[in-house]
Amino acid sequence: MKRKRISEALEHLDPAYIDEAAGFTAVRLYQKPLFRLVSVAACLIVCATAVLLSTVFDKQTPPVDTPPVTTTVTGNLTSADTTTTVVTTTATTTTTTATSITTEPSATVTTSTKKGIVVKGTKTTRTMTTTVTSAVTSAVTSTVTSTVENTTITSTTARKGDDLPIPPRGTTTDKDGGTTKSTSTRPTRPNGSFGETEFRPDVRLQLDKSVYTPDEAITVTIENTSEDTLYLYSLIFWATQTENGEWSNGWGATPLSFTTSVLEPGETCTATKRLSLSPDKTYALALCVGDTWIRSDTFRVMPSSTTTAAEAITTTTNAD
Amino acid sequence: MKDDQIVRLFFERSEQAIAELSRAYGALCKNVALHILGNAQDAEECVNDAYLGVWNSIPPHSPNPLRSYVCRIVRNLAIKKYHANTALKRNSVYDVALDELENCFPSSASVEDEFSAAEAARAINAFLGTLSRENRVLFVRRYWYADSIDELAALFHASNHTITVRLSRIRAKLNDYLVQEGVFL
Repeated sequence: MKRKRISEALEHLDPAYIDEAAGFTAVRLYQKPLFRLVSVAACLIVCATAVLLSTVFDKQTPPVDTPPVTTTVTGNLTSADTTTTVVTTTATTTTTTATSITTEPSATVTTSTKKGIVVKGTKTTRTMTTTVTSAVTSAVTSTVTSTVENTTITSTTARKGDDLPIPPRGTTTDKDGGTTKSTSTRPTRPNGSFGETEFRPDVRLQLDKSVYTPDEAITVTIENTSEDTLYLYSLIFWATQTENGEWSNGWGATPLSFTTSVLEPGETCTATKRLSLSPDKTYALALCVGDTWIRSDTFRVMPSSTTTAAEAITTTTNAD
Repeated sequence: MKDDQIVRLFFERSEQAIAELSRAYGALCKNVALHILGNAQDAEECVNDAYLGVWNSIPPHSPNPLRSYVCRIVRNLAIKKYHANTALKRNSVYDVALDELENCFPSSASVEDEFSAAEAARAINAFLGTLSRENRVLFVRRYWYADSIDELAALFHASNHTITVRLSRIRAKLNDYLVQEGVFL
C-alpha cells in the first residue's frame, strides 16, 4: 500500500522538474576541471603569501641561529687576544667579535731537521667563544662557539740542558736554532793510546784500500749504521802499530772535511786526503763523532825510497 | 521540430503530428516505459498507447512543455500496466527505485494521519525545490524516469559508487524533510 502511495505521489511531480530532468545534458557531477583549477590557484596564492611573509619576517628579524664561525688563527694567541671575524648570512651582515679566547695546549711536538737545525713546535687547540651582535637589531644577540685547531711551528733557541743532541766537542753552537757549524778548533785527543781508546762498535771508518803507497790519497767513507745522528769532527787522527802489534802512544792528526758535518742514520759521506804517512808501517785512523770515537781497520803503507810531506801534518805527542 | 509546431500539427489533426512526436520524444518515452515495466514489448505497447492518448487529448489540451506531458502519459500507462503485472513478478528498475524510496518515507501510526498522494506530491515538489539542480535531476531521473545506476553514472560522468552515495544522501535529506513537515504515508 505504501509503495502504491509513493508511486501515486510521484505521478503528481511538478512537470517543470520532469522536463528539467528530461532535458538535462551530460555533465560532470563535480565539475572536476574547474575544481582543480580553483584548487591550484588557491595553492599558488597560499605559497606566494607564505613566501612574502617569510621575506618580510627575514628582513625584520635578525638571525637567531647564526651558523658556526670558523676562524683560522695564526700565531700564538693568549687569553688577552681578541679576534674579529666577519660572518655573512643570507639575511644580513653581522660582525663577530671574539670576546674571550681559551687556549688549551693539547700536545707538544718536537722535530728536527737535517743539517743540525732543530725546531720545536706546539700543537694547540683553542676554544673561542664569540658573541654575535646583529647589524640590524643590536638588541638581539646570539652566542656562537667555535673550535679553532691550529698547529704552530716555532723555532726555539738551543740551550744547554735542552733535549737537543749534545754537539761534538770542539764545535760551536750559534744562538738561533741550534745550528751546528763545523770549526777547525782542535779537539781533545782520545784518552790514552789507540789501544786504550774506546771506539763505537756500530760505526766504522771504511777505507778504499788496505795497502797504500806513501804518496797515495786515502778515501775514507762513513756509513752511519747506527741509530744516532753523528756529528763529524773535521780532524782525523792516526796511530802507528809496531811490528809486535802494539800501538804507539803518539797520535798524528790532519784536517779532513767530509761532505757533511752531520750524518743522519743511514746516510753516507766520504772524504779523500793524501796523508803522507811514513812508509813500511801499519796504521789505523780515528775520528771524533760527538762524544764518541770511531776507527778504521788497519792499513799498510808500502816501502818507498822517497818521503814526501806535501801536506801539513800536525804530529802530537800523547801528553801521558 | 519545436514543441509548439508539433502541438499545432495535433490541432490540425495532421497524421504527421504522431511521427514528429515520436521523432522528438520517442526514445525518451520508450526508456521511461522500459524502466518501469522492464520489458521491451510491453514498453513499446505502452508508448503506442501514449501516442494515442496524446492524439485524443490534444486538442483540447495545449501542453507546454510537451515533453513532460508525453512522458507523464507514458509513465501513467506504464504504471498501470506495472500494477497489472506486479502480481506476477517484480524485477524492473522501477521496483528497485520504489524499494529505495519506501524506506525514506515515514509511516503513519494511524490511518487518520495518512497523507493523500497529492499531499505527499506537494511535499516532494517542495523538497525538490531545496535541492541543487544536479541533485534534483538525479532524484527525478532515478525515481520518476526510473533510470538505472549505470545510466545515471554515464549521464553525470561519475562512478556508480558516487551516484549511489549521492542518492543515499538525497533520500536521507528527504526523510528529514518529510519528518519535519509531518508527512506520513
